[in-house]
Amino acid sequence: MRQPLTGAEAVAEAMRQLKPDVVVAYPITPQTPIVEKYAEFVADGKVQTEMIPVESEHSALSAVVGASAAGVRAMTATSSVGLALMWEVVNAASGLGLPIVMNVVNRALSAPINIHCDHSDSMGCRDAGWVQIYCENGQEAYDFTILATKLAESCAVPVMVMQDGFITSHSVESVDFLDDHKVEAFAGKYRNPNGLLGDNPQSVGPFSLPNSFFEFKVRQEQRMEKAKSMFLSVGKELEKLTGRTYSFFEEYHLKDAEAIIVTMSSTAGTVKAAVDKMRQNGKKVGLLKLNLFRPFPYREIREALKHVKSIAVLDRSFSFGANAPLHGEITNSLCEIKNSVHGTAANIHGSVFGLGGRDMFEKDVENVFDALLAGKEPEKFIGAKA
Amino acid sequence: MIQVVFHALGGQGAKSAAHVLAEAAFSEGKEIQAFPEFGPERRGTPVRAFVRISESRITTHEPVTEPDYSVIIDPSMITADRMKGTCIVNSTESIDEIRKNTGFKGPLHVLDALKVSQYANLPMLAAFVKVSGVVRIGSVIKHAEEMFGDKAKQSIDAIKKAEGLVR
Repeated sequence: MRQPLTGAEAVAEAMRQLKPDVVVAYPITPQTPIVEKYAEFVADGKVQTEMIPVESEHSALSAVVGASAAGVRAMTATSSVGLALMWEVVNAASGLGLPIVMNVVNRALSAPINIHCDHSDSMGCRDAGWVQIYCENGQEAYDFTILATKLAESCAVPVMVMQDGFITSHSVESVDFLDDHKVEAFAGKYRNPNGLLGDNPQSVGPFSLPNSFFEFKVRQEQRMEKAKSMFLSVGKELEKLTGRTYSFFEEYHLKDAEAIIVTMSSTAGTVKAAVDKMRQNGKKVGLLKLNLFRPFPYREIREALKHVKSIAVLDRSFSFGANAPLHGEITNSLCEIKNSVHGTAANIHGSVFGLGGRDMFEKDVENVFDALLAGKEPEKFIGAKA
Repeated sequence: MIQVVFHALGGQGAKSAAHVLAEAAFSEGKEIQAFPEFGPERRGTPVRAFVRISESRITTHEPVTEPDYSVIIDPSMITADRMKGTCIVNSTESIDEIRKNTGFKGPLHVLDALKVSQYANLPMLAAFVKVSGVVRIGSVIKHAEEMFGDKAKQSIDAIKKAEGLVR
């Protein structure tokens, strides 16, 4: 069934259908409408969730960790400095192998304080051991929240699902929903028998000395590796219900493209519109839209991009003093080709855009493509005043 | 694709008007997008809300810069820089006076929205629908009812009156 909903409402609907046993959250702009809507479902008796209001995001994720360790399905949502305040517990959740799903509505980090979109919040914890999925629109936010729940629970890894603050979270678009019973059948009911309240409870989070800590972390890395292949198999299952495909990334007019943009989230939609326009004028341009940022699909990206001569990677955050996060990973993906006698040495440019909600126009995208096609360097900081 | 910009002061309901329009268009089988410019937390300051209505899928997420229609909900915001495409403005002044003040030469329609309701957003939406014909007024009434609940009757009266009064 299709309905016009905001990205935030779409995620709240997905959560309602997934029936988490526990939801704990602290409101923060622009995430608030997710938990606001969810609180409405609880108040109206549409879900049997234990919803716990707390005094901070640190407590919110801590309580979710407790619930998940007890062995039940637990979720939260946050943004920006809220995620930053969770930081200690973000790492604990992944270290404990807890299948928590957290929707992150991307917003800039302070300072200066700003409530608008960029990706510095979730990029700040890209090495924290969570699967990270970035969504183009409300439809993807809905679909990937459902996929994330099954993925998390089948690999014992926590998953973050990102959507762009305001641009997606507050934008009304048509979203295609599954029937409640289909989501219920897909995700099942989650009970961990080894949870603290399970039939066979085990200790959670004991102290670990140098003779065991490393092994915990190697296991954690192995769970992430498993999550990469499981992402595709869970995606295949979901595809049977929705008719939509779920891959690590989407290729848009990529096969014959001479110049391509790699980017994520809502901006990928704007790039598609620009690609359509430029293709009509005979320009061979394309897009690689990445959905799965962690674990990162290096090999698959290398395969998809090996024929492309010129690439611009557009990041919505800095990694101060280093290549921006996506730019760095795309460069990593392609360095083997660059060093190979068989491969094409693509020119890879990195640009940063849209910080703190700076608008990104189709015209900006066209400028990037025009620069690539002319063999020039695209603007380094798109739309920033000199 | 038809692109519409609603101009208002934060709190005057530009976002709600955009939302109702998008839902109405959606119910008529169109692809839609409706989004506020600065987020909803800007009470009393100039805000814009955007709507796109299309026969095919909408992927772009850029703000609307070249609208087909500009709907100006607050009279203090009838300024030359906001007058783009076909303009529907809330004013007690005549079309000639507005043209003189703004230098705007394009298609222009005026509604004295405060005559029909203390809230100008739905009357201005109705005026837009009357002028543009992009959706049926019945669809707008239905979705206004859904959004405004017990205030719906007041809203519907406003819409019906406004539709008849726009110049």
